[in-house]
Amino acid sequence: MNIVVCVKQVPDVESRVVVEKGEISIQGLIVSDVINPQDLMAIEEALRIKEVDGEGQVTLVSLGTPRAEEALRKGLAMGADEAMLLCDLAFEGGDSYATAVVLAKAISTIPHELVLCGQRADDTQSGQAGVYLAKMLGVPVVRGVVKVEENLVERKLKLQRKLEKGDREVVECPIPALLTVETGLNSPRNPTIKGVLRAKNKEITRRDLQQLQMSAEEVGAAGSKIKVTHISPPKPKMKGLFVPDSKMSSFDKMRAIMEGGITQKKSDFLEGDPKDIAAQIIRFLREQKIIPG
Amino acid sequence: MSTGTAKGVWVLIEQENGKLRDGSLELVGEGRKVADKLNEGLTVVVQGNIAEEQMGLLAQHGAERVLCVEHPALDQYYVEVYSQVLSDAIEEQAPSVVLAVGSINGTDLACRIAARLGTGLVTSCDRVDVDTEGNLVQVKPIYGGKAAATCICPADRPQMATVNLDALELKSPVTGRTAEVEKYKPDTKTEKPSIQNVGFIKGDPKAIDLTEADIVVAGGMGFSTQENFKMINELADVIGGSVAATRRVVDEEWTTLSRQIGLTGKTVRPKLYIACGISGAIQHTMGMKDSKLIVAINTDRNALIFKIADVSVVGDVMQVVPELTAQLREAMAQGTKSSTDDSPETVSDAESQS
Repeated sequence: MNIVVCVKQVPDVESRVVVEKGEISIQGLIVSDVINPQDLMAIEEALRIKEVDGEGQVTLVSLGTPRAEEALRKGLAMGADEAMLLCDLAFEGGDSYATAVVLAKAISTIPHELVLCGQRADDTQSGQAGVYLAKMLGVPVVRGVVKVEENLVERKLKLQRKLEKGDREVVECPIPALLTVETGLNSPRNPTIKGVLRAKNKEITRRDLQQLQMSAEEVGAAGSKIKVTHISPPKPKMKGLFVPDSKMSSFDKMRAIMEGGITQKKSDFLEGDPKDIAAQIIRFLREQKIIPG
Repeated sequence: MSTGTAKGVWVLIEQENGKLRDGSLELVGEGRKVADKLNEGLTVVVQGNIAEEQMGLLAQHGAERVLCVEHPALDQYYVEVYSQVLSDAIEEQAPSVVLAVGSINGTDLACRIAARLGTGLVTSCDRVDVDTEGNLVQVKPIYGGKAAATCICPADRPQMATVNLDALELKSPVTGRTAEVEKYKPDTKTEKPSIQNVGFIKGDPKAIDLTEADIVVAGGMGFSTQENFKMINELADVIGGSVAATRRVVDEEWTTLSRQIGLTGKTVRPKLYIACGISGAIQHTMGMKDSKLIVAINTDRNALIFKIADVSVVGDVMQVVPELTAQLREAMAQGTKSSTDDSPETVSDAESQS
């Protein structure tokens, strides 16, 4: 099966990310860029399916700067067959929609039956490009995929989608399709030395605006639906309990309700008889709707 | 769609068996805020029917109109069908803003609608607002939460956003408000869905990955022995939580590495983290400090864990945990019995409207 995997090179979000004068600045002596973690899982899955099928090609496609070739080479070293870098100044500053537009144009020139994408990029964290892309390619899309069972004879897939609380939804989807994959799908393989050497010499196809026969208005910032007006440091997380009556903290309210069995302290500590402690905790959990009642 | 004629704020909510799902009322309140600033009407959209007094709640939180969407093909929730039906409704009625709950399926739905309509969507917003030009302002975390991006959708309508459940706060309901309920039965000829729902696997808190657990019950060296540590399992069982541990507990082999939280273990952000007999050294708290609610039990009132706990219990886990387990067992049993009844508050609110 011919499979296309969309790959994005992102800064390592564990590195120091700061906001300076309204712009993101990644600090450190060595700034490492990595393949977006979920894209790595997409590559792994593509390789696995290809191995099961015994035929076909895995092609990586990335929209990025020339530096993104590093990411593509890593994917090639893992075992992907071909790589394509969509690179043009005009592509820059695009939102999920504008990115999808370019990807769609490029991917439609590559014979394929399946497109795999990481669901969410660790930098922009939108998780939408895959859905726009699927619409543009005219294929069904399934998001949140954490398990793929391929039925190569009937050309369909049985998939598990990650839901909240560890639940899974099981769906069936025909091929061709686009899947966006979530953490938990697999553990991506490491490139082999042989793979790295092979990848080093592999030619990565480049495509720019003109080669894709697109116009500047369709792509990048110009082609985006969403405009970022500014970037700011994160708001500190409000560590506190939401209380309908703002004059009293939830804790004081709890204490006021319960009478007796509690040691009156200036601090916020709950102490005393374990029975009362337990009762107060339960009351708190009910109030916070963690437990029914 | 161009910006000119679009008007109205729509809020898409989810229901299950007639009851509103988490985040619904909070999102309606958020929609109300936006509608007020835009001086436009607020419509709440839900699939199927919801109970009377839930309608009342929606009105109290600001809904002026509730659209109950019905379509034969929706009998089984095929997300493709629902997104098509809603997209058609949106195209027809042209709201200027559409908000959805940032749950997994809520986000899925919003992405599909945005793609069908060719409009802009910002997901996982921590906040939405309105700027001086009447644009919806969407603020979302980026770079793993280390920065925030403020966005607008200047040229396309509707402007769409999904809002994080964590970021939503329940506002005070206003009694006396009513909403117009409209059954929306489009005769959309729906495309045959490609994707078929074939099953559902419920997550077992004992087996799921800790990063997916809603409730985590963690134990530390405060238990002194492996035998004592086992009481964590009962507490977790009773509350439907997953068991976790500190590095030292794992080193002692009281439990497996997969249950380790912290610098050399997993990072979790559950709704509730109960830290039993855990001192709260930074190597551990790094892995759980962003939990929504933290209950900590420790004999040492100077324990670092209390700096990040929402409920700080100074006590011996050997006494508190069994007591809590026993009382929770009763509380959960009671809770399930009465879950089908209306809660007293809701009934009296509904009554006070008339």
